Amino acid sequence: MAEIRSALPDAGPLRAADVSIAETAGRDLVQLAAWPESFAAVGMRLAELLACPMPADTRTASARGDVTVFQVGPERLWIAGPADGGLGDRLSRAFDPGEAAITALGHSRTVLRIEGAAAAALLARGVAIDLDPLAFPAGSFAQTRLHHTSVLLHRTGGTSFDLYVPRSLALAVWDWLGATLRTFRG
Amino acid sequence: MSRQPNRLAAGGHIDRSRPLAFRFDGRSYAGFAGDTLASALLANGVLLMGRSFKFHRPRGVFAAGVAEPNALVTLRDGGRREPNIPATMAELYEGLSAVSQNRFPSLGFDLMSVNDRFRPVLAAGFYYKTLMGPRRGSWMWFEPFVRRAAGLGAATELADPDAYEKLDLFCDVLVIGGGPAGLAAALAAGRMGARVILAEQMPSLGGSLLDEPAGGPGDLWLAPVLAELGSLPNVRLLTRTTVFGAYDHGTFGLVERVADHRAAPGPGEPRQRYIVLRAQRAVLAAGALERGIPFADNDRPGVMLASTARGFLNRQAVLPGRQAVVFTNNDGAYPAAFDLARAGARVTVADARPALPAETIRRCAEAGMELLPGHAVAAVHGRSRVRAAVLAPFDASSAATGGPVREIACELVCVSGGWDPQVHLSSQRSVKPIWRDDIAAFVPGPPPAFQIHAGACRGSFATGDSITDGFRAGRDAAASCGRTRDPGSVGDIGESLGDAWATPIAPVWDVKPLNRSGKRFVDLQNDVSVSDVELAHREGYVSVEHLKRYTTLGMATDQGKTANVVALALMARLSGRSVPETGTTTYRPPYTPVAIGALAAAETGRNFRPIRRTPLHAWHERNGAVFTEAGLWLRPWYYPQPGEDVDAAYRREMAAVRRSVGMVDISTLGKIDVQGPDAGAFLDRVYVNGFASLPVGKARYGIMLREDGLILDDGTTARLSEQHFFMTTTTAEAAKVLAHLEWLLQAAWPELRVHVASVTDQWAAMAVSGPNSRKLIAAAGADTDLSNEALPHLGVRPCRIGGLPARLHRLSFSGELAYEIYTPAGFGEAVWQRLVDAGEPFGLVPYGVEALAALRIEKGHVAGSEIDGRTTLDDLGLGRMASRRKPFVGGVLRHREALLDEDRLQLVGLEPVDGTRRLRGGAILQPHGGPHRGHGLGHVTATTYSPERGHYVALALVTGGMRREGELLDACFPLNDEITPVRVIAPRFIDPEGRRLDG
Repeated sequence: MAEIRSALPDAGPLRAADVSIAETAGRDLVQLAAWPESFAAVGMRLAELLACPMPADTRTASARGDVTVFQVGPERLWIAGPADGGLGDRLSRAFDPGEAAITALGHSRTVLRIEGAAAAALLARGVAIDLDPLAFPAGSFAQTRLHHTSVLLHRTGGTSFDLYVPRSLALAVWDWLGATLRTFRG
Repeated sequence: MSRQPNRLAAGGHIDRSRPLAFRFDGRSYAGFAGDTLASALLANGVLLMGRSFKFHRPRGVFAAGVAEPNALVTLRDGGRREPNIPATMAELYEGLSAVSQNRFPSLGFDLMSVNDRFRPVLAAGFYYKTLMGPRRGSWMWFEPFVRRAAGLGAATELADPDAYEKLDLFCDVLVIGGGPAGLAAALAAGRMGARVILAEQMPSLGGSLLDEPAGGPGDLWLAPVLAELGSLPNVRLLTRTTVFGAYDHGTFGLVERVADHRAAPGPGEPRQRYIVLRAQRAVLAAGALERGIPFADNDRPGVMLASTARGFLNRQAVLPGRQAVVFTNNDGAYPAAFDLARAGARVTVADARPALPAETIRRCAEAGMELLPGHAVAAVHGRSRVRAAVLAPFDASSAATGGPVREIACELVCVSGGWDPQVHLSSQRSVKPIWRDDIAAFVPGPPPAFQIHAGACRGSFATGDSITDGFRAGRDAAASCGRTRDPGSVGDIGESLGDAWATPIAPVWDVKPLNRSGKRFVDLQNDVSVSDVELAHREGYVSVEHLKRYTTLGMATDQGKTANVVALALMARLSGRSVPETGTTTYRPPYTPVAIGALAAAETGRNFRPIRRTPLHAWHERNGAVFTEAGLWLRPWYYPQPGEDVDAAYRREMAAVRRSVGMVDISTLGKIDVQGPDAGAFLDRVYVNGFASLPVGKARYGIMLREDGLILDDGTTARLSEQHFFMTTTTAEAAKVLAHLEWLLQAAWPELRVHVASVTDQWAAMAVSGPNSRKLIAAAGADTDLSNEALPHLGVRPCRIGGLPARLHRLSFSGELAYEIYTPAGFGEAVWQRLVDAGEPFGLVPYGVEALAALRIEKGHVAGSEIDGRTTLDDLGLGRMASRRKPFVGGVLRHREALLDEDRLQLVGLEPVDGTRRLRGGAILQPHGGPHRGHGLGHVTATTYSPERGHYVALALVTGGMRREGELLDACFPLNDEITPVRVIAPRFIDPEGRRLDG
């Protein structure tokens, strides 16, 4: 597989006290959208195929190994996995177009990992979501806005977040995060 | 440096180990950490701090904290210069530099104080009466003089050097106010485990407790409470933080002054922080502010509110005057009188109430104070500072003075007209304040479910009551958030804080003057006096909202915090109504001024809004592209060679396309994945033309209408498989089209099994155009048959270019043989570079959107300037595209009578009669030779120089459209004073038969 060019400059991670931000390269993203009558059955087969349980609701991702599943809308899932795993092809082969529509989105998002004790405090500078661990525990995700940009925010652990940013806006969000870090004291 | 004559040797909450030097109007002074600019100036014997807005009368500090109307100063220099800061809110720091405002040439000698001599002319409504005549334009003539003569400080025009920050916070219980009620509320809610945020606008917590003598019962109560609150991890205490707005659903706007108490923010520190806070419950414990009583010359420096004087005394150990007169109508002023006497001042109390309890009389006597029941201060003497007060027997019910007058020499007159609970944040949520006769004040009305009121802000003025009330409010707030832990009880308060009112207040709204001299001010900041309110009444203003606007009462930086209720009561009395019948104005955010910089936060400069970049952006940058904005996108505009301007560059670029081959980044096109068993049927309903019959491997140009029959957007859609379509939209309308499709699927036709998804960011897209485009793509290594037979016009084929996956769509916007190449975004630059490398033998040029637009205009293709939200298919000559065999969105309403009018603006081409003349986009088309009237016959939508034709050409929308073919019109461009005769021709300037499409 040819190298996927990053939307970000090759300048290394952003760092400040108790928080770092870096691109997670090599992630693939596929949308699977089924129909009301086929969604349950598709979900069961998908769980088997990915060896990953389906998410219980639209606020909590399910994850197993390096695969994460988000339900981003009615009968609509995003599946994140390794870029070299042929995820899109596997799903396209597994499901008839009448059962589910598969859309490759791997190149459309830049994934930023924000981690550290102050990660939630940094995100509170731009995301209007209550990130208290009681309100937004590990595993939670939300489709929200950061710097006027639609993003998917996934709390992968107590002090670790993945931010899925549209590729065309990734550098703008990166620049904004860098500017925000300049006055960030945790 | 000067000594501090009014500073007491001991006491106060200042840090005497940290002396601070500061400057005011160029003179050096000394103060201490814990001072405000106001307290430090008073300590130094400086009473004169400003000039009034209209009359330029000398003014000193009158109120405490945010309520101060007079002592407004300009702080700092250069880009940090900030006007209109109350000296009572400016915390002293080493090197602070402040200047006074609205005076010329100096504060002590202000030539503009001549305005004071013209007071009768400069009454309320002065602007309206004087400047609207004698003829139109009078205001324009007067304005510069008025602006110079009246006003506040001037803002800097330099860029703000500081950073600001925005923060989103969430909590169970927001406590607004860090006084006794607020602290008790936070304590109760905090003990119950609720997530609590307490916001206090001043630098220290304690509120009115800080007005108590240092080391007294206030401090004794405060210390353990603050220690416990500090130890609770679920409680966050924000000082220097003002809750300025209360919005829907428990959302509040706060501003935290992070670094305003220092000369400049520290490295990496924001100056201010704008906080949007969402709380389940809010406890409003904003306290109450004292109000004044208008008497003759009640604005002289040395006249101040009683609580303000007490605050200076007990917070900063400043005795504002050694001979003091206290004028009150309520018990709340007595603690100030006692403390002043204890500090060594000779105090005379004039109480408007005729009968006072023996206990009060005894305590005054013990303190060595003279008490005059049934008396008022009728006037003061002195100009730049008070020298004496005139006391007279007073009847509170009629406000009349009479009987033997006494003149008492003094430096300080303390006034208390009662206390106004701070109902602002309740009123902002549309809760009407309620009048209470027993305290002669408004209190908040019944609160909405998420707001609980506590303490002085709901009329509970005794400190002990406030604490109990606050604790109850905090407990109730936490309980309604589901917290059930027992909060225990609040600590003992101590006897001496039991400052409950023993004698009811006697409402006093003004003191009738003993003679005609002396202005009685209601609103000190706007120079609104009792006579202005009377004038407004005489002139028929019956609504308090009109009073406010006519007199400017309650406007500007203090928003009338010490004036509003007095004015309202005066108006009520004049009109023979009660105060509640007269009403009150509705308070709106912000409670106190908020810097625009804080609201903008980090969104300045290049972070003003996000920039969208295509996957090829870095290449364009490296290769000298000049960019232009298209919505949020940055797109290459043109690629100049040395010495070229935009005109030369785009003509060269388009000539290369017509002659050989060019390449343009079209990644900004909206791209939508349309999938599902009913995808074809869905597109049939969305587009005016048919798509269900489109073969796999083919693309088609389509137009979609809005429900009202006007054109929504156009683009091409390709069929990739039986159930999978790939739609493109214009760059500008991508989001709108996706929303339109989603809405149709969810609301109109939920039975259709179709999913749509934006894939705009998934794909890099480039258009290769020109007679050599096929050869170029082959040379770049596309592994597919590119012949006309294998890939005809409108054909679509997957392929690999240099081993990278791509898809070729044979489509042409330029009119030449052309291909659109789609490849996953992360491979975009590699594919583009491969084409560039292969293009050298062909003279390949990259071209920007200027040439892109020029090529389409020459070909007569419509775009956003023609699809402008007002045009129909027929207007653009596209009516024949509409299918008669199927229904589609907009298919019915496009036949409305007005849309079928033959005189509608319709698409034509234009060429100049004189081929050397330039045509301008936006030019108005008028009959040739005139008359040139109004909007004329239409307008030019797009122009370009046509290298093929050797002159400019234009597309235009003209009434009657092609019925005018051959007619001469005048293209008028008033911005340049140009009139260019043009001829109406068909809107296709090259290759009308489309022969070039096959190369």
